[in-house]
Amino acid sequence: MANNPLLEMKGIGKRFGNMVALQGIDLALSGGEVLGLVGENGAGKSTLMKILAGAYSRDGGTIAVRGMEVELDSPKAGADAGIAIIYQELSLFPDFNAAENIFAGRELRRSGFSLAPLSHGQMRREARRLLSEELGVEVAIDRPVRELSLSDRQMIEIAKALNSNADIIIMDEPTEALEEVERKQLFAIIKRLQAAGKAIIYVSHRIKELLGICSRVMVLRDGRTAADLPVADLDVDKVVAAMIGGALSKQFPPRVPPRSDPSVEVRGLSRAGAFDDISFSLAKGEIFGIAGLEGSGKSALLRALFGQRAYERGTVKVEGKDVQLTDITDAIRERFAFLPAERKVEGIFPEHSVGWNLSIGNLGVLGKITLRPSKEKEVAASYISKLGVKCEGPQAEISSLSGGNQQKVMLARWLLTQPKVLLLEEPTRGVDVRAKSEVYALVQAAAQDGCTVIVVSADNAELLGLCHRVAVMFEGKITTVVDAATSKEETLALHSVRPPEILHPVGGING
Amino acid sequence: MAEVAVTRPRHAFKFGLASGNAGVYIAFVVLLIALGFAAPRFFTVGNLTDVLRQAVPIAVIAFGATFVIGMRGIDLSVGSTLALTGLVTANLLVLGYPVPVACLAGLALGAFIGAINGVLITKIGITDFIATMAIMVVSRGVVMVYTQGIPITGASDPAFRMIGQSYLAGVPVPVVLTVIVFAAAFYLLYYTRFGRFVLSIGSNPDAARLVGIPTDKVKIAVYVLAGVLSAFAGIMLTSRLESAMPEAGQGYELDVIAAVVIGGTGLSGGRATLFGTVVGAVLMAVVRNGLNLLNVNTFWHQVVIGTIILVAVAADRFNRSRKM
Repeated sequence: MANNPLLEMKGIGKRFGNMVALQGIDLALSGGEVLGLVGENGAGKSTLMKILAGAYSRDGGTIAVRGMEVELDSPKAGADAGIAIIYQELSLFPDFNAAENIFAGRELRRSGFSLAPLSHGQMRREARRLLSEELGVEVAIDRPVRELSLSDRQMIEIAKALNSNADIIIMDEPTEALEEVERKQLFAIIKRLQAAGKAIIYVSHRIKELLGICSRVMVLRDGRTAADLPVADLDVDKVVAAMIGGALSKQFPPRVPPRSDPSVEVRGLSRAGAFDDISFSLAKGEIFGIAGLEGSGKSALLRALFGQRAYERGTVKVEGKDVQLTDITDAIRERFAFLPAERKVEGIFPEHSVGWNLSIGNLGVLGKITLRPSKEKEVAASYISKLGVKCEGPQAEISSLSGGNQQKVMLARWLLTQPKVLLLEEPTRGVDVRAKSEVYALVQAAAQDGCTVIVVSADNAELLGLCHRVAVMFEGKITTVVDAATSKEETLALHSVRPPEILHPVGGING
Repeated sequence: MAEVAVTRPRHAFKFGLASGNAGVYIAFVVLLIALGFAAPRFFTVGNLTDVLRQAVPIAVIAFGATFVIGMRGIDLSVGSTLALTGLVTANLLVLGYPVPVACLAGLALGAFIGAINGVLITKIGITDFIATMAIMVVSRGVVMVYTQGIPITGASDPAFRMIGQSYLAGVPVPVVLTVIVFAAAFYLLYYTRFGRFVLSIGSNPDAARLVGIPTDKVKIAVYVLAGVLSAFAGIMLTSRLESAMPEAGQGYELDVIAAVVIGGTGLSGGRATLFGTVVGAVLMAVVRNGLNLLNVNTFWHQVVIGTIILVAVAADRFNRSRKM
């Protein structure tokens, strides 16, 4: 950690076909430094990190680690140079346990002979030491990681990086799927790694968070460096301005009051082990948020309202009429719509076009029996322009779109069904700053048309900015409902982690 | 990237025609020309008619398999279904039942076997590979028990013979029927809700469920379709031979999958090209015919067909990875 930077990238360039992905990027990093890397989707962050990890080849520039020039032409070369990357989609083997994952590819053997039996005991001990001593976390060593929480799995990823003696650790949107508490834990670990002289590159869309944890922030825009400054000289607005090359209009649209006519009324909804005695009533045009930790029952509740795993007790009324929501077709018949958090897993049909993805929820609009291609084009084109989807047109492949634009197509899919109730699960996860505010505007436009919206999110700022009221769930129960305009993020965070001393009577829940 | 965009057809339902495996179409044409030179007898009306007639049962079953594979499923029971339904049809004819009754009974049995496959897969939760393999073995066993390994002959009702043996304006009726089935399947797959549901399930089963597609029903329907088309092929074959062979359709499941895959429908589901399936089925018949004309030992046929499958899939892989 002397004068020589640990990592020095100079003049990095990369093209894909005719598209310039990166141009003339310089990046220097010393031990003990945490560099925040931000930029809109497509700005080149991921490309730059993949070059560093050896997953992509570069077209120009040099990379030096500890003053020594390195080639980094394969992921193995990256690992050998002491660079570890923790991808957004975690790359653990789900059926292996923590120890097996930490040592995957570098298993310890009882002797140097390559067919010698593995030394499981030693690997387990070492894994335990890494996790509990170096990282200070308690993670079950013996269970297959598929049974562990997302944050535990992330800890295992970090332990794996440490075990490979990496000095440079890249974290790609590490907190995107984490809850408040887990996030704090991760930040503590980053501090520890920093103190141990590791260099960390932290890629994230959460600018506020980034400013709290990083020592320096580098902003990429259109494949070039738009800013590279110590955090002391930055604030959220400056970073956003650098990202988009100008000032951003307000992120959240101004609130429009809901109408007075009632829409959804939920009474005593329960499912053992998931949520318990949930009641609320919402008006047309109301946007209702649900905050809470992972496992608090917020997603289970939302999905139960969509009939995915039905509730066991309780009633749901829509516009005063009792409805049964025992499966998804029921919910769709009652004009419920649901946007799942994992867009790639549960939302898009990756082989198909924008038009296909958009119309699949309501093929009736393409023709009664024979689906007409011209109609698909027409419907898709109108929604593409109405929602401002950036794509080559209805025939563009959905997978060629950015996350934010894919999300708009998902929204369009449901708007096409003219929903009465729109259920949103993490509506802006993996969506960049500009597209986020566009998604918010679309949600609000839907509400203004009389749709009732229920939003589940791990992002409390989002809930307070977008919603009229926000309920907080803790261990399956709604513990409080606050007015979004007058509440603070801290209030939501606080209620998320501990039950209130005195449970409010039902009246408080109805708000 | 750019050249890919240009070659991409510009209509909305682009999986219909050209999205198959362009390399296979080219290879197919090259093969035809080469055979024309190497075996002068190849391009005679009689020989080409033979080729088409051979391609017919595989093609008809492969249309069903295109739905199944496009849905990310697999059906190994088609060959046995063909044998069993052909047997039942032949037997009813021999017993003196009218032709329509015998044929409908065969088709209904095909639908029933397909429904069993579908229910085993969706309601009992057995993987498609295992469920249809078990049904394949059971159906073949039933055929063997019933026939004791001896063909059922005498299904020679003149009206029945027409299905497999007559000509319409010089074209064999089975070929005409296959074209009709193709058109119907094409419409079903690319221009109806059902077709979209099938490909949606193949593309992303979880997402399909969340947009309200009744995935279990659609899956069962697809296996029923595969069963009915196998039965249809079985009836055409029985009519051509005027008898039901106990070993009919043995190994068809692999030929059918080969035709679909050579045509460009990937086993990973979500995309399906019926046009490619036709080319795949005809290509295999052409190769077999060509090898016969060139007096190549039949044992070599399998080596050649297997190699073609490998090359077709490898070419597809290569194309796809270049696109990324």
